[in-house]
Amino acid sequence: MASSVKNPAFMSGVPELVVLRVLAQREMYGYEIARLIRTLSNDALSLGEGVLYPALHALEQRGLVRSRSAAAEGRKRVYYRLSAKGEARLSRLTEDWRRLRTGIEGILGASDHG
Amino acid sequence: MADHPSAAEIRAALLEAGLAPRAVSRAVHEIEDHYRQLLAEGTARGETAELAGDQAALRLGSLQAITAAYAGRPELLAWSRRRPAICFTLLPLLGYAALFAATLGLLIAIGNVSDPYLRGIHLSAQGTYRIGLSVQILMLWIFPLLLSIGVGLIAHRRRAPLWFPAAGIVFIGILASLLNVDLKITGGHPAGQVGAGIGISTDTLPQTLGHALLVAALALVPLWRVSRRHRAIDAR
Repeated sequence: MASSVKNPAFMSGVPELVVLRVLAQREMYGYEIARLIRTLSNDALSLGEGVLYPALHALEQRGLVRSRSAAAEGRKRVYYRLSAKGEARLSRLTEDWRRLRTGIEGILGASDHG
Repeated sequence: MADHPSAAEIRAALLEAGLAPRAVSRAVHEIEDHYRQLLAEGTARGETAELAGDQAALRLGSLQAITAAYAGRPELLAWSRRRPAICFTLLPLLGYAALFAATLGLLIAIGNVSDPYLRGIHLSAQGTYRIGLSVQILMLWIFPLLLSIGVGLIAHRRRAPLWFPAAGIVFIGILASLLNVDLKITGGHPAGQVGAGIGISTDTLPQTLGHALLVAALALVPLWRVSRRHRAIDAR
């Protein structure tokens, strides 16, 4: 299993990017989002899953995701989906992240060859 | 071994962190649902109930981490937590002043509408006195007391720092003691009069102080009792 990255400063903005990216696939509820993040990241991003909810609620308040309640398995469940504003934000964050990754890979490549 | 906190513990911690009760209910509901799903996931993997519970609690993270994540996002906190002085001190005081003025306006409006009827009746001096006294009790005692007790209980329910509602209650008590209202319905012509004012006089200083202290004390006692009970529950 890959080692988990919990909360270094470098991860600032990453939970937002990850949650928006996962929600871009389809509407999901909290547990599904957390499980998909675990699976897709091969457990490299195993945040305390409880902190997903403040992140989701904050994204909702900023209008980046929308929620609706629906009954499932005899219980009320809150489903989240990406809003148009969220899609635009996801594009920007993805672009930023790719630029950062390219930059870091460049530095690591230079170090390897230096 | 990791312990999953009860719904009541999560609720109390999130209220303490400053979330609005409605947001707390939603968060508790989602976190509990998440925990059940993690338990089911562990059981489906063949884990014992105890191990599945431990793993689920670990995956979910500690209550402190969840609470800190909420507290670290001021936009998620209730307005009353972000502006307690306005919510629990200033607004109740203005609310009482507005309620007093609205009631006075209502009395004047009722008097104007029923003036023809009132001119045709005659009230005894005792009747006039009783109506005037009732209005004074309502506007100078019952209104400030109900408002103060309500503010205290709301502040307690939201786990707001109690200094703010306590200050609001004291200010309401002071305002109630400085206000006066006088309603005289006599019947005949003129049918009566209504007046109100605010002020302090050295002649009535002891009564004014007594009024302020009594209103504040009567509202602060329930607040003190519920907060003491809450602290006792927390300590257990």
